[in-house]
Amino acid sequence: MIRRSLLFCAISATIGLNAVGALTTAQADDTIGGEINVLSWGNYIDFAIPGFEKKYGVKVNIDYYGDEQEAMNKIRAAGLGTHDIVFLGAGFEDVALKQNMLAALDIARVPSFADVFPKLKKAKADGKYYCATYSFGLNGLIAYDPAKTGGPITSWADVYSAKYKDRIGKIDKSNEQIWRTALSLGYTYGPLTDDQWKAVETKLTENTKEVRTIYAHNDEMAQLLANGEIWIGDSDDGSYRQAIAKGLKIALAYPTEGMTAWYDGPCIIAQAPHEAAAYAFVNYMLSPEVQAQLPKQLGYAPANAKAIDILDAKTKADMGIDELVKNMDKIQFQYNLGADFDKRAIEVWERAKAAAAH
Amino acid sequence: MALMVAYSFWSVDDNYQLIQNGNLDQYAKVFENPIYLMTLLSSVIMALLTTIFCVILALPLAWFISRSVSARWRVLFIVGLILPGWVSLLIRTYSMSLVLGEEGLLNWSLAVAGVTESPIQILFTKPAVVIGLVNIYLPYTFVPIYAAIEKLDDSILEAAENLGAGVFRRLFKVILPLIMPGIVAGCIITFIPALGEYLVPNLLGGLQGTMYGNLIATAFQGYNWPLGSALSVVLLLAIFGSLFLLSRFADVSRSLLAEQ
Repeated sequence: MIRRSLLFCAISATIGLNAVGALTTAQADDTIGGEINVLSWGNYIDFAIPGFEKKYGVKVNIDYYGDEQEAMNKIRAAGLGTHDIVFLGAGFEDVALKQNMLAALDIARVPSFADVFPKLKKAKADGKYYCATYSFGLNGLIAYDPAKTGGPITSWADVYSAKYKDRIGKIDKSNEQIWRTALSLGYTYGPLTDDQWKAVETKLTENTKEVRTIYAHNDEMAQLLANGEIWIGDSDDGSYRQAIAKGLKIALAYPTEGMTAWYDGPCIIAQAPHEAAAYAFVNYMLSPEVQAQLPKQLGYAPANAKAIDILDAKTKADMGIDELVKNMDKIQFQYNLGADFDKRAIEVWERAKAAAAH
Repeated sequence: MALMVAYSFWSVDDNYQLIQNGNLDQYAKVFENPIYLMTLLSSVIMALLTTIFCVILALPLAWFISRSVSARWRVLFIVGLILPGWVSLLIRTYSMSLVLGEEGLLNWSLAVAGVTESPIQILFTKPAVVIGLVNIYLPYTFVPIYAAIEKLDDSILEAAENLGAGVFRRLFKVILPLIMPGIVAGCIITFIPALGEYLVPNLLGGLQGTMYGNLIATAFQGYNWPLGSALSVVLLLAIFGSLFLLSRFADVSRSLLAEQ
């Protein structure tokens, strides 16, 4: 009897231990625990945080910044070993790399990376990836009121044909103006030679003489088109989608000469104190489940091709996703060309504006 | 202020790093590139025009409220004038763009009155900026002028009248000299902020109405803080220069202390 009881207890204990072990294994599938310190733009990733925290049991501490320079100042001020993740655009990814702030991404630990559009995967000169693309958007697009222009606009040549003089609006951003003009001259994104700079300035000055006004933000483009002050305006895809959502009857042209685009995403900071959680975070942000929410949450198209498959037809149509994918080959992605390039761009744009104004 | 001056002697390298090298490179750029000084000159003219129009409007308005409106209603008039100032500058400037636009109130009124057949383009011109600035700064000009008129001693005006001084003689020889400190104070607190304006020219000026403040903003937005600082120092010097010029014709310190 005693022997039988002992056997029963032993079997029960074994079964019990196995059950607990199995349960523990099931719970530990994704759980990492602890915390992670993330530097992000405001209202950019917040919608995805509860899902990540629940899935991995990691508490996310977000530190917001207004621009990337501020993010880099925060990393410097806190010292490496404090923050785990920073969201940077292509421009500042290069600057942060030069300052040894970033750790190379081990792509094997980011399975979602495989589904990102190939055009949005940017290896650096050393062949390594540092930041993954979470969101991207197109600059250098043309928004117009087809009722006023009397037909479709397809290129910069159409816009600056003197036909729409004093009915054109330009965004007051030097780099964008340089690249809209440079691409219309057939140049490729990258450093410009002195002759190319000269040609860009000449063309930009000519074009600006046909312009009615400039605006600081693309949001103003919608208002100017709505009240008829301009018929055609510089735009990006996000601002166009917002304008459409507000009921504005305008059209978007992907200029035949090409367009530039920005991309932005999470980078793991060198000496990240919570590396495992940081990799899980990058992978989660790139996952189809988060990426499919970008159109509704932020107005951006997903960077993950698999996320497009799970978007509903209406969202796809409203976002112009098919059109975007169709024009993917015309996109030239921006990267940092250095402060000297930026300074020269500002000088050229200021001269073009002054020549047009006086 | 000291930091701004210090930055103006530094520079930024190709990696956006601040180089604390202490040179005059930024000032050389400001004075070698005609755009900066031309825009500063054009801004001085726009700020001057704003100040002149504000004084022209504030003087009779302040006189009317002070001398013709009963004490009971006076507060309402003054609050009515100051009240729009409690609304955000951004909203007031946007509203003005709706007034001045091609489909705005002004063009609609002109069309209804039969003055114009097609809309005139006022928005995105220098006059639009001046109109916008007058709309913003009129209360600032009004307050010191009104205070000066309120302080006017009626017995002095009566004495001038009894001695045979006509309306114009009383105005130019008695009233204006007595309220001059108020006018000068009004001019100073209108001209100085108007000269460095950014928002109004940005929203109403377009290409034509760019002011010096917009160039400073562009420099800072382009992470070129040393150039932005040098431009700001030059603006500050221009303001000091203007005050110095004004002090040749009026007692600036007495005006700012609101003494008659």
